[in-house]
Amino acid sequence: MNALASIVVAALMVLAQPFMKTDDRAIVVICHEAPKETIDEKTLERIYLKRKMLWDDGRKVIPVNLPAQNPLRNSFSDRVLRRRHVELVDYWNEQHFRGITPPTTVESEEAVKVFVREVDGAVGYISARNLDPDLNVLYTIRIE
Amino acid sequence: MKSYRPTGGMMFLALLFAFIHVSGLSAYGGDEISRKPWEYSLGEGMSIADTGLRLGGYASVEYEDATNDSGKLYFDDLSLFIFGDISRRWSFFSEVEEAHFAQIDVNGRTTTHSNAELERLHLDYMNSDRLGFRAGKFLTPIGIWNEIHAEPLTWTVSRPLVSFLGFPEFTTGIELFGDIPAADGDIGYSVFLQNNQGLQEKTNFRNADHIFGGRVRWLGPRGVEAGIPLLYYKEDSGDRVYMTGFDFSWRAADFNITAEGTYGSVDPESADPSHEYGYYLQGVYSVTARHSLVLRHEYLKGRAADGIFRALSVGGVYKLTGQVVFKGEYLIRGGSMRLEDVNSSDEVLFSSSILF
Repeated sequence: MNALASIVVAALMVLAQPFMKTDDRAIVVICHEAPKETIDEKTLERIYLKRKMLWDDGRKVIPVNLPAQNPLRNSFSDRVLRRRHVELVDYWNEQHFRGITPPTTVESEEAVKVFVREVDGAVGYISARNLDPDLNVLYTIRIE
Repeated sequence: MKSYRPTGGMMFLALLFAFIHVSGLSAYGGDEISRKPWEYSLGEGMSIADTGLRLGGYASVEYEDATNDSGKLYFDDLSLFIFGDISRRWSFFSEVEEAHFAQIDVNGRTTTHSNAELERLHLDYMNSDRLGFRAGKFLTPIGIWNEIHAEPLTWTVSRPLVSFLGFPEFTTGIELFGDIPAADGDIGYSVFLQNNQGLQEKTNFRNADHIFGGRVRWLGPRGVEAGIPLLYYKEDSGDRVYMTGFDFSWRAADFNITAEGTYGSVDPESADPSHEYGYYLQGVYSVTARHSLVLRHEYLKGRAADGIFRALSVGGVYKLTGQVVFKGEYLIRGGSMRLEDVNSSDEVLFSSSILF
């Protein structure tokens, strides 16, 4: 019986692996104190291009990014910002002329979690597998 | 040209810094929270200690060789910005620019003079993303080029006449602005008013003591943007101008198309009414991430007896980095324009510039 149960469990794990992989590769957009509005990819684009500066409850939106070469950032940018690196450089150069700086960058996903816990209005993104229970998920991006 | 009037600017600056100091807002920091004091990065400026303010700017050197004049090398722009968030809703921006401050001609003769100008100085209050309020001196929100005119950010050394000749480049007054998310992009709007002399208007082609205008702008998907302005202004001379126009931009992976046009109806105090209109159409093809080719046509019919201006620009751009830019351009000009400071002969131009 034990042998049969082990085989069934092993078979289920093999069958579930593609779904587990999908979850592992998901990106979750997190904050500490959830805003009132619903977030979609269009809103995230506006947040990360700093065209959305305030949450509806009046708090300042403070997006935080991972470093430029981080694979998770590349996946996030490809999906949400839909711009090539060179286009983003041009965009932020223009924003500098308007007095707007790009989102703050921190070194790691752990640092993203610390940042959103400590900074009111902050929003960041991490891998779904690194999510902690005290953080609110605003949006989930499934990576193909 | 208006005389140098530092008093208004100095008073505004004094009031601004007094406001920041007394309110205790200077330590806010905003996005600067994780930035180190004095941290610098090219194209983003430098944090000023822990004030939450940043220092940035741009500089350029330009070589001009027109067929009706000898070649000249200009140290053209040195522009410094200080800006930042001073609270969750308040921010400010200031820019001082020194333009054409040194010139070397073909004989090696050097001339220098000071043209320092307070280009921008404004305080912004964001009530929400849909409604912001601005007070001070700012770039008149008409067209694309006027608001983003820094040498490292444009594709050619020369600037199309239509992007500054038909309206005051600066407004000293108030502005309401905002972005309204729509199903397919954002709708941006701006309404602005000036009812006084402009602050330190040394380079404005059209100086006005009364400006009232607005613009609606659509920021669409796939890199498409389009705008329509409406403007009324009364020049220092008493001439009244009613203006409208359009701007359009399409940015795709390897090319960029930009166009602007204006149409103005001029009602002078002591002459017959006339019209002033023009456009430019510019295409940019990016051969590589660093190399681009530019082709632009422009046309302007000046008011009354000012004449007509035509130009075809062919140019190339090399970006060493996104912020260090080298440009070359050949301008084929024609027409009968008789305005001072408008050259109607062919010209070769080169520039190198940096956004820092």
